Amino acid sequence: MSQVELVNRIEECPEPDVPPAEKRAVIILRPSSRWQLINLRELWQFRELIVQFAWRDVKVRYKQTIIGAAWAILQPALMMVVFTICFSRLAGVDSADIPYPLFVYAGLLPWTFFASAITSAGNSVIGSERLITKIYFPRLAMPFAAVATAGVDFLVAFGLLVILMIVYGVAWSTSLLLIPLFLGLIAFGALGIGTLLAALTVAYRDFRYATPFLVQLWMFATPTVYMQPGGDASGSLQALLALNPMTELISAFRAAALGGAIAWDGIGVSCLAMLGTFVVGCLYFRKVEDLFSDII
Amino acid sequence: MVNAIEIHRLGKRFRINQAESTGFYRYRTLRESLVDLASLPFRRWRNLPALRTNDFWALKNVTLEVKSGEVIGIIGRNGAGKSTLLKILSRITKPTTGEAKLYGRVGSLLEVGTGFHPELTGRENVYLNGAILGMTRREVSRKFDEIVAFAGVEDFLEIPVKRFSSGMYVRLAFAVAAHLDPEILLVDEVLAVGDYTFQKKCIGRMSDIASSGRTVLLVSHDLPMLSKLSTAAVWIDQGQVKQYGAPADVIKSYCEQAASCTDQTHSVDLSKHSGRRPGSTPLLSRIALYDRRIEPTTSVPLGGDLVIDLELGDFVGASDTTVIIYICDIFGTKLAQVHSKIQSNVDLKGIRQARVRCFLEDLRFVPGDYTLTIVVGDSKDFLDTIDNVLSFSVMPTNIYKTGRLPQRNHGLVALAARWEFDCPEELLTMP
Repeated sequence: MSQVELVNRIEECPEPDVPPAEKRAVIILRPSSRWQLINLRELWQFRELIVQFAWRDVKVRYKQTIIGAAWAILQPALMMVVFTICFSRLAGVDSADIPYPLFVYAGLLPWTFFASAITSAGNSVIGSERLITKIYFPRLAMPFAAVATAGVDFLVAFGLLVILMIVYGVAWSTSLLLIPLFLGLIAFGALGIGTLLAALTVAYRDFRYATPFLVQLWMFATPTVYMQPGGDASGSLQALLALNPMTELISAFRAAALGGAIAWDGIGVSCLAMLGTFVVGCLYFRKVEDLFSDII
Repeated sequence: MVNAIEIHRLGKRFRINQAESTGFYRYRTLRESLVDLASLPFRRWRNLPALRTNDFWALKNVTLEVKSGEVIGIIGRNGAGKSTLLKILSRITKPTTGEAKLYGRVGSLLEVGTGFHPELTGRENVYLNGAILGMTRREVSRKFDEIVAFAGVEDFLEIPVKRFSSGMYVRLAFAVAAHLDPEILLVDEVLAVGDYTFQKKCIGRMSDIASSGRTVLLVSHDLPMLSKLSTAAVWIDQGQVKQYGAPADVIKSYCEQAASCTDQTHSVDLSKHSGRRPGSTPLLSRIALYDRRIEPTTSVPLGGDLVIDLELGDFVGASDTTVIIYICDIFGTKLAQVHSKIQSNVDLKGIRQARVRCFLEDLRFVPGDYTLTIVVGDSKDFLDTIDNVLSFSVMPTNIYKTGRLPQRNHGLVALAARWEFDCPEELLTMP
């Protein structure tokens, strides 16, 4: 290297632009402590990652399919047809004054969202094994993004509900404005349960097989495809259904869309149950997330 | 200069259960955990040890200070703990003991292309990968053209990366990570990929990062590259810092020790060997090396024969008991393995005061030092594994009868080769 070149190179060298020690962010790595709450600040820093993960899953899901995102509508729509034939025509299930297809779709829509949210959130961490063992990011981003992805499918399928409401001539009311509230509560519950399942699935692969089965059982324990039994139903069945926090939320969602009474006290109980699940789910996830890369 | 990284008595313990340590990973089932949990009070009460666990310290008492603007090369054998150290520093796994402080934003590149999704296009993957590495969308947008130009994939941005050639894939992945602008960059043996021009570009990028006052920690087996690029080197051996200093010094003593660390004696007692992997049952009791006339030896001429003689203690087990011998170079890279079942088709149902001899004929590794790792296993598990029990040298010989010798930089194997030249005789000169 000639003298001139050397001088040029030195001049090109950028000034050190590392901030002075006292201003620098410090990351301290220590053995894991026992219980920790959600690090909201960090999660907020990585908010774009959650969006990117969700967006990735949305984009990838229907790649190389012919009808694409129409699958999001087709699935609940076909379920609606099946249930209409089985329950309404053959079994004669009562749906009050609401036409049964509309009734069942308004129940299946939030349920499908909830079910696919917790199933995919449960699988989100073990599905990203490579990422977990090779890079750091707040691990909660994975189940949260899975719930967001299910939310996108919900929005697509919601379009069909609007069309059905127009076709059946449902009267529009102000209670429609409550839909986002109930949807938010269901999403909140899905976050809690999905996060718990995600952490459990890493340690115990049993949940990978148990979850779809439990979700199916849960669906039949929730008045998605049948009416919530009125006060005259047998006491023990009533008590059992009340234990299920999804009962009130699905009913409330349907009532908000199609009209009907909303049982606010029941919703209050459901909210508390969902809040409890969320706290437990996140606490457990945060407790075991340090082990993910070692045991996955 | 201020410190960029302070590591104080860092340690990492892995709990391995018997089945896992042999490479046959078994997931714990919920039932097992519940049984463990239920029996915990009883075990505490009777002061019994935890079930099936074996401790393995991947890192022990590592203390290290790194100044801003340094490029630290980390060297050591495979399994010495280099990657575990980087994994702790990049927050993928937590330390078991000790503490580390990192001043500033940390970017890590432990594997090229982690987080790339094959179905997404090049453009989408740049944004996704950027987000995973901790960049905001705005940051990626600002550097997008630079990243794409660095990777040289301008024309392929709208194509799913699954259609990329592996070279393009690697280039794009490194480009994203290299533009992260972290204050501390952790890189694990990723430059081994890509073509020569791109490797040079990556090295240039890393020295740029360092010259702007940032810090780079780099794990690599490419010692010449490390000695050029780094300002200091750390040698990690069996989870501990063996030496920390000027790259030339550290690399020199590393190479010296790597050649001599394993006993260069012809025979070693294995009944209490320190290289035995945790979880092994001590079955191997002695190893010895002989030449073709069954004389004790520690070196083989190139193209010569080596006899590995193993003594084993009593053991009766399932059928399919096999003896496997790995031949590794001084960096711990496995070059070849011989396997008693594969080569002899003999099916042992156990061993009773057995003596097993393996005849390696026409050994064609280029002159240099090599080490042996011995494994005794059955169809399911590795029963006894001892790493680096012995080393031996391959001596240069006039194997081609030309007086010209194959050397280390000619690759790993000196093949038996024959040449034919189809041209008028007057063009050929022969001795």
